[in-house]
Amino acid sequence: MFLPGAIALWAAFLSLVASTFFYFRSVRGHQEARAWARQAYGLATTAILIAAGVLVYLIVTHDFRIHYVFSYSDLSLPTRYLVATLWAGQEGSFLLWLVWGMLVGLPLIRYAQHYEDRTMVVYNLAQISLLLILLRQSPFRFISDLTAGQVPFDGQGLNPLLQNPWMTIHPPIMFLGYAATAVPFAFAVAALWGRRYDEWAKASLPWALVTVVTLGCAILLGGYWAYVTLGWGGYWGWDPVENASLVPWIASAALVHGMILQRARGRFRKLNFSLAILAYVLVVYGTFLTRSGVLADFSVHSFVDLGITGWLVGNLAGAMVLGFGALLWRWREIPTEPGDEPFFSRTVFFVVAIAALLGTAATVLVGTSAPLITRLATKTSQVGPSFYNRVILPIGIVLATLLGTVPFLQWKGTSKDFRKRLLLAGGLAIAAGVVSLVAGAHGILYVMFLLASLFAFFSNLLKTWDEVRQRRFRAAGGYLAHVGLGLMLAGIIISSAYDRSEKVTLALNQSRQVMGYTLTFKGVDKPTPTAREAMLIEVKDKNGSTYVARPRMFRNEKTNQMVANPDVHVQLTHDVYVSPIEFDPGRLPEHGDTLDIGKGQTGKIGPLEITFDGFEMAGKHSETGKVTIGARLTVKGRGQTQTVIPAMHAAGPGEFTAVPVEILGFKGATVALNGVNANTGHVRLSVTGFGGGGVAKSAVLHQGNALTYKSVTLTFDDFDLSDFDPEANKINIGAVLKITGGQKPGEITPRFHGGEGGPRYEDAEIPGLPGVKVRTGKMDPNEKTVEIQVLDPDAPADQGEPMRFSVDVTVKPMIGLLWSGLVVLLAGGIMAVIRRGDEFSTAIAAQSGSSA
Amino acid sequence: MNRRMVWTIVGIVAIIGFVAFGAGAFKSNLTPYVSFQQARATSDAVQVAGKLVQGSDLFDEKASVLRFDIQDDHGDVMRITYKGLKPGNFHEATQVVAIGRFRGGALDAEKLLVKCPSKYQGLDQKASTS
Repeated sequence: MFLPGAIALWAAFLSLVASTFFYFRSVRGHQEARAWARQAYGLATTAILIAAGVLVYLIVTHDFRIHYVFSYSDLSLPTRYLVATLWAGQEGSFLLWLVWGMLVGLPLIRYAQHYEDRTMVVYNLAQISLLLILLRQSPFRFISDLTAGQVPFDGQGLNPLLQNPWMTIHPPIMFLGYAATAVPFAFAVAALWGRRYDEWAKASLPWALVTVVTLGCAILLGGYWAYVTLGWGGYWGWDPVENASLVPWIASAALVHGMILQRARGRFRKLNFSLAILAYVLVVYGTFLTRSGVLADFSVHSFVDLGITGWLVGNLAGAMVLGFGALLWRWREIPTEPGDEPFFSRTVFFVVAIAALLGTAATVLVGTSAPLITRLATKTSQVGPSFYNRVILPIGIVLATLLGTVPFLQWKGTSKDFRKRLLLAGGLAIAAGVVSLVAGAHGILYVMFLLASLFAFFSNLLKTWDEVRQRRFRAAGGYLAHVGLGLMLAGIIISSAYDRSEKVTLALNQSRQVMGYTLTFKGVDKPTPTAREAMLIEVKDKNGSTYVARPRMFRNEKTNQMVANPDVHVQLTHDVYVSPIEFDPGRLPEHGDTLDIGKGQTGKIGPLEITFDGFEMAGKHSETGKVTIGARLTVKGRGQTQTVIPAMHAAGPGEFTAVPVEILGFKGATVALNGVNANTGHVRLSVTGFGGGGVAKSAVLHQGNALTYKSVTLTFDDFDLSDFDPEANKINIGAVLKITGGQKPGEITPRFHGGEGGPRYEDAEIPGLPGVKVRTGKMDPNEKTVEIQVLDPDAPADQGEPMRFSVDVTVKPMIGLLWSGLVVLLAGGIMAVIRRGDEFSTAIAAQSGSSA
Repeated sequence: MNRRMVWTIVGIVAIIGFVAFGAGAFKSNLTPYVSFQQARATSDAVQVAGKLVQGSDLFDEKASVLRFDIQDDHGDVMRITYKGLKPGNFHEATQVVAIGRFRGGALDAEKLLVKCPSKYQGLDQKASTS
């Protein structure tokens, strides 16, 4: 255990316990204890911040003795990802949650007023439950079994999928949302405890809104992250980890509406107590689902079981007993007032909307928990995305319709311009719907959902406009949020129900038609050896406008994991989404012929005369520190003379890669520098692409097996190891082949020369077939097999295989509505947070003013 | 009957209807974990898990599907076809879970899950000394 960190955690724990104790004393009438309780809370906050600071320090300074640092970071990570490592793992993310929890508590203490003592007792308990997990599974523990002085050189590194700018902002926002759900919970339990059933709803409404805004923002950022960088093809997959944040978000949205309802009508107290407790319990339940490993078989990114399952179950049980226990305890005392509103009233619509939201939450909850539920009854099973889509679609239609109607309803009836406004909004929605039908929308439920979303959009837009015109800017926040929601719903349904997708394999420089686009694979872009490869695909649409898509596919060197990033081309009406499937680097042409020449010497291959003029060391194209050797050649042929410089690049220790260079004027002809003999100053060149010398036939022969070419039968007799002595660096192997059936029976021995100077083939001509040669390929002395190739000048030269890249091309219509809707929703949400926060402070000020 | 009672009844009917609808969808969408043998014997959607047979994966360009084989603990091998994109950690996976129906000699997967080697396994062996 790293002591400073562990001490900070324990100090935080003890301070929180003390704070809880003193708040409890204060509840019991010892008011002087409150000051101590606040101080203890401040101390705990400081200690948690120190703990987080210590962990960041350990990560940034690469203290790989620490298990957490070793597991999630390494020396190669840039600073921003080192800081993000704080929340990359299980323990760190609990710590981040706790940091937010403690920070949220500070304004909570300031504004809780007469609820403070009881609220903080409950709130502290929620923080303690998180802290207990960290004390059990400390981020500061050392790697076990290390003896003194043993420190790993380097860590295991951060999952390459997480090395992404979104990683630096998505989790912090998410955990702020989680932390904020504890506030309405604490208020609700405190209100039940102290029998003050009304004002708590007003006090915690801003916090519930904070949860809705931050969790909603985080969920969609996560979706956007998945969409633009992970290449999963979409922004939402109904994965348990996604669902675990969606359910509390929906419950919090229901809570916000319940609280507004209670504020306006002075009713529905029981509903709000239930919702506030439920939202927090769902967060704790989601934590249990995703952090305990119970769903490890069902999620693409559930965390590994760390042995904290018992604690998570304990926390869940604790939250449920505390919350629902308090509710049952006071249930009969909570005042209820019957109301009698007509159907077309905001009150009834809010209730129906809350019911629909809860139905959605329940659907997602049941679906996500399917493995746990079915484990009790039958075989462990899960449900697929179609379950969610099928069940939620009809609820969505109901919700969107309510959303469109409610702006023009009063709490107890309709507003006077109700009909006119709704007709206008409905008309606009139908007009937009007709446009989308012309554009190809189909499917009765989808179209209904689309119409309802458009209706919600236009209706809330009209209302926002009305509010702004009457200069009631603050009231516009809620409607503006719903304008965004309407846009988002429309974007979701259009982009997911009407997307088109096709898979295609593109060979280098060949064009293919895909859904009206012409795609041409232009090769791999790797400007520097350390850059991540991008595949260049030229995409040309029907109108002839062109762009270059750059999907990426590269291997993370640390983990050797393939990472694929899609290319998203954003347009006004649709996104073109190109996602990599598979990359085949192709095959260079088999070496047609080789030349071994010294400086100033000339060799002949086919119609070419090649002269080696000298070496070209580390030219201007090479990277500093990388060894590059080039050979300057003069190539004469068909009346042309040209200079070409094929080069070898150091690929690793003792390893070189040869890059073939084209010979102009001869289609498909290339020359490559394959070896350099430092002693003799000779270079070995391989030249491809001339009319003949291609592989006419090849086979792998066991001893005694035969291959027939034209009239000649070649039988593999044995290896010739007469000049094979690896210790003397003589790696010369021959394959003895018996010739039968031709005009001149006999024996030939093509050889392979390894060792000094690199590999070289010594081909053997088949007697009776002029120019036809036999070459050895792979040889396996243990299995007694040899691969032989028959090279015939009449056979076409091997062209190799071009590189090929398989991609999935998806056109997602109107997905921009989703993201722009999100921005509008957030803007409206933030306005609402400010408005409700102010309302509460004003109410408090008025109260203290009147009591003074 | 007063209005309150009407609403209560409408509410209860709506809730019962929704629960029935949801339960039906839930039941029809369940995919149980089964052995390869059971998967071959049924036409229902199921899920199977096994180790990827290294080198067996191939992107079939003509059919636009990814094909690969997985092997269970008993050595039984099953061919999987998948229309979607290859998951990111596919080759490093210790286990591949495929969800779909068995059709024509292969499991036609709608969804793939890959499980990667736990970061916590073999940790102490990997820790080198300085």
